[in-house]
Amino acid sequence: MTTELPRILFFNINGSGTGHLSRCLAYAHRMRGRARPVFFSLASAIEIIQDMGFEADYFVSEFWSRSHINAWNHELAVRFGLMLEEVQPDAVVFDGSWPFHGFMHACNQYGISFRIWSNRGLYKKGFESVPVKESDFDLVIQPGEVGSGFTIERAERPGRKVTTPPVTLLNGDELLGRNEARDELGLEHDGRYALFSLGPGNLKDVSDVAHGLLEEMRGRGFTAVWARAPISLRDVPLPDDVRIISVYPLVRYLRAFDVVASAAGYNACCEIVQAGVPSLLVPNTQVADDQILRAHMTARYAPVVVSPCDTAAERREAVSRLLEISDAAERLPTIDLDGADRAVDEILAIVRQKNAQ
Amino acid sequence: MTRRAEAESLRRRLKQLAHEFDTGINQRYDLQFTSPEELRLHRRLRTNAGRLLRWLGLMRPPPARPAPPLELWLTELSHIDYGNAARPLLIWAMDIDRDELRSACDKIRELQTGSPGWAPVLVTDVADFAFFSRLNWLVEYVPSLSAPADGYFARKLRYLAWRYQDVPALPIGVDIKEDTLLEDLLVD
Repeated sequence: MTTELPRILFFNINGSGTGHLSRCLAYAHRMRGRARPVFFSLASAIEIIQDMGFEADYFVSEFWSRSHINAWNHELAVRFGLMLEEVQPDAVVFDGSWPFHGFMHACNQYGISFRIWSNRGLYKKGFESVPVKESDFDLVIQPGEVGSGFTIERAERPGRKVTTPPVTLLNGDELLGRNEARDELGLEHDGRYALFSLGPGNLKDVSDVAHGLLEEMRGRGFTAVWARAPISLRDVPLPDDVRIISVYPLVRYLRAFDVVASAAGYNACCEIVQAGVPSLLVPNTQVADDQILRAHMTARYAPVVVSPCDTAAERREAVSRLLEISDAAERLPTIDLDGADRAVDEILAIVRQKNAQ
Repeated sequence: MTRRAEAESLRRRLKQLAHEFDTGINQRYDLQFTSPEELRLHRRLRTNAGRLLRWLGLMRPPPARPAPPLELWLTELSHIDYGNAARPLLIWAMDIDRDELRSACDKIRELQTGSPGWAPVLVTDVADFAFFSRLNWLVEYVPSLSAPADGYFARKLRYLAWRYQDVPALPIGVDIKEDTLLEDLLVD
């Protein structure tokens, strides 16, 4: 006799990149064989969800739609209600900073058994407070920053709250080794490669920083490799000798590179620690989370240089420091990166409890 | 099939799908908004006192008030300049090969330069969002989900036909000549 797996419906918002989606994919990836994940995504990278083996629908985010926010929430409630009625999930997981009115309304009207809020912290000072209570959720998961351990912040339900270690999309043993990754990307074993992963540029124009850093790295003898985001509105114009890759998840291939220049989003920082590749973090100051603080926290656990790279002098100095620290990875402490597993244990414990009842 | 026959076929299909849509879901998930005025303390106290008096039978129920008009659902995207006024345009692209879809979308993009002011919405069952993200169109994706959600595809399709029932539509497979105007291809 086969037992039907619990159905978990993920609702990820659309941020500046694919961070919220990647976190939900990290949870879904760890649920394989234990639950059936389905996605309702406000990020349009539906192909990458399907490539990882999950079903998904897409709804335009409030950020990209010109509809009034009330009209958008009204539409969202009906669309998500339709998904709830058809998928009949055992639990809904919302990943984002602001649970939308339309989302909450659809959950209430449908009568969802359990709702879970995955809410990454580290917001900048002055971030607008959210008019939704944590007690409106059965479980609140705060994916921890680099260096965080598992902590139960509040045990009682509803509103049980846990902080997990960092959540990474892949387990450490799923990352390719240097030469294996180079083979898959078509790179030479004896080449010197610098990877650029500065974000999709949808919220912040990264052209100036990118061109300055490309020039700096190429001047030091690196071949530049540009990671194109899965979804971007436009390409950053690049010199002809820059190699372009478009792979997901990028972390699987990170060890192919001698150095990395990256934005300092949550997933990027966790993955740089996981891969241990010397990295230059360029915080994006136009997003809700405090990327400057996160970048400096990451530097405690990985060979990392932090710089805004706004001027030629800053870029020159940052790259010089990056090359000096590139052999420091082995001296750094190893840390827990099993946040996705811990979060999934929490989610499935709730569902099991319901089924037992 | 001629361009005209194809357009008429789509018109009939959309009308039928919209007719089959069960509007009950709109009522079940109807989201009402509270104005800042209604949230004020004295207003809430007055409302609750009225409810209590009506419950006790000491007060008659107030006359029914029509719900305030809801803002329109737009097919416009926030990062696009549509000029003075954008008109929604439905591009119906179901059951089509990915390469054919790309080619057709490119042709319609070219027509847009000669017919500006349209805010297209692409309805499709093809997940090609890396390509779609460069079109600057709203995309309505219609996925097939496995059981128990195997009815999702048909329900969402009917919903979209209903949602965009007043929008001029363009069948994706229509033969587009270079000198065609976008307006000439539409189904009202």
